Amino acid sequence: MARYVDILFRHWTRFAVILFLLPTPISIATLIYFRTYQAATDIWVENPTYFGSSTNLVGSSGISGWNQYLTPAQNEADELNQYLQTTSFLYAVGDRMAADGMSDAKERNKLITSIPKNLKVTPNGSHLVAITFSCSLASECTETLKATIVVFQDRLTEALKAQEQLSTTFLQSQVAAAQQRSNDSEVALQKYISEHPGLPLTLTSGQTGIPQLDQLVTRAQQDRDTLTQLQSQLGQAQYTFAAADQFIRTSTKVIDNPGITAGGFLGDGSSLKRAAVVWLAAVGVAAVYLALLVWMDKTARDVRELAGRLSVPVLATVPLLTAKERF
Amino acid sequence: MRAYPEAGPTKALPDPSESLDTALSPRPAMPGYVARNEDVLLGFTLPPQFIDRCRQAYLRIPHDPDDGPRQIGVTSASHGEGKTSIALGLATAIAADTLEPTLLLECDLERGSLDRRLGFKRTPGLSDWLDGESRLRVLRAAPLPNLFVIPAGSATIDPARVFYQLSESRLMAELQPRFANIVIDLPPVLDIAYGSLASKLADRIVLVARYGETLVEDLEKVSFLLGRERLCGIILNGTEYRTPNWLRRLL
Repeated sequence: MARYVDILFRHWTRFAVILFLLPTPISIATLIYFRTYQAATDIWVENPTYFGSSTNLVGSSGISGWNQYLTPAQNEADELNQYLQTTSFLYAVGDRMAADGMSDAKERNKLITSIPKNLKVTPNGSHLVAITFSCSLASECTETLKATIVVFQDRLTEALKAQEQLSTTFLQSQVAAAQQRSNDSEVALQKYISEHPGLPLTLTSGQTGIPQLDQLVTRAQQDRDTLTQLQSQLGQAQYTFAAADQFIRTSTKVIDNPGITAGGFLGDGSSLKRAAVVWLAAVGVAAVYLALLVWMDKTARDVRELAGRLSVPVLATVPLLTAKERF
Repeated sequence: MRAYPEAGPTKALPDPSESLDTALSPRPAMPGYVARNEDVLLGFTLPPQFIDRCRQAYLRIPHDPDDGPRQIGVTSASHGEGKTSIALGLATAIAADTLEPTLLLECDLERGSLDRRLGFKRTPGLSDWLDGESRLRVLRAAPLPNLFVIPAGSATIDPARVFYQLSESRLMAELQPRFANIVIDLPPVLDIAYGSLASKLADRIVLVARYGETLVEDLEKVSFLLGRERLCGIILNGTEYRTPNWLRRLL
């Protein structure tokens, strides 16, 4: 060890060049060339129960992929992270940016290809999702973030609409069937009444004392109730479908609009990381060079090494005499 | 550089004791004694912190006075690692601390450098005495009164023969009773073929390594050639730690 340190200090100018003079301009150039900006935004995600249990946003049959054991923020972050891995989502963000006025296709492509790497989605508490995006131009960062959020909300809306459409179609068929059953029950009841004149007037109670009549009355009542319930559900689903966009925008509110939070030389820290990598590489080169020098140096330097290898004591070390002291 | 000696009967070496006695107790009237001004080196100073590190080194070498004079050989793997400086520093520190007669014997016959460092004439010296061409020249290294130097002398083209002669001579036997401490500046082990032969002059050897230059592998070779039992330690010379002290303490 002493040998390494001694050689390091002996050739300190060389090591200074390797460790400082060479990497410093490269690091500075890295900081300047790879300047980054970081835009950030916060989204508040409502718990689906906020809309009441009757909507399809709620419960196990609610939003697809919604895990009831995670917080809303975690669910939302997970969903957005998954979307970010899809090409269609990224293209949609690109289209949105083009629509917002970013005309340079090359720049757009560069930005959207960097989204999976540079866009970070982090749940921050139970309902807050922090989204950050880093790029080389401040305006592009915020635009990309805005476009991403809009596309994300559009995707959620589309998913909700598709789900609601499916349930609406299903409910419509259910209502039609219930309607048919109710009509049939009513027809059967009316037929029975017309065939048996002089029946008591309290038909709706279902306790006429005539078993056949009671059964017909009860069945007609049940079919009416079912129909009413299904119609109500259908109405709600149709409403949700119509207001899906509003639901999504309300459930995922942008609390802080996209804005630049870090910029310039430091930016998101990636330029600093690059500078650190340059410096680490310089340290690596210096370490290899030092090891090489030590390996090549077979001369007597280290007292302990000498004593160990020759098995004789080192009686004294005599310092190098200065020019004035020499005799 | 001196040529090979002509073939013929080997010259008898002059008796070293005469020179040694003269050096230790200078008597100007003694025959063979060179002028006193040439025998005493001009005062030299070593950096105090350097001496201190050398002191730290010699104190860590175990020495029992009952075993005879302290005799330390200083060598290195190759030339230029600071072995002569360390030998001079060790000799100075020992002489200053013990106040006993201390000798620095320069045995790096091919590339001796003490004369340049301390400013005296290279010849005559050890190699000249071994060739029987002069008396043994012993210099006193001022300002210490008890530090003496025997210079290497003329460079020779057959140092191996000279070292053989040296090992056969009774020089070390003559030196030991007169000097309580003898520091021998040996030639480097790997640069020359007779390094191992030269290192036999000393019982205990200190190996000098230059920080950031000497290969550990070379030190291992030297350790193997000299034998671990004779190697009493390493002095890491010319250390230049760039690491802050507080950090080095943590490591």
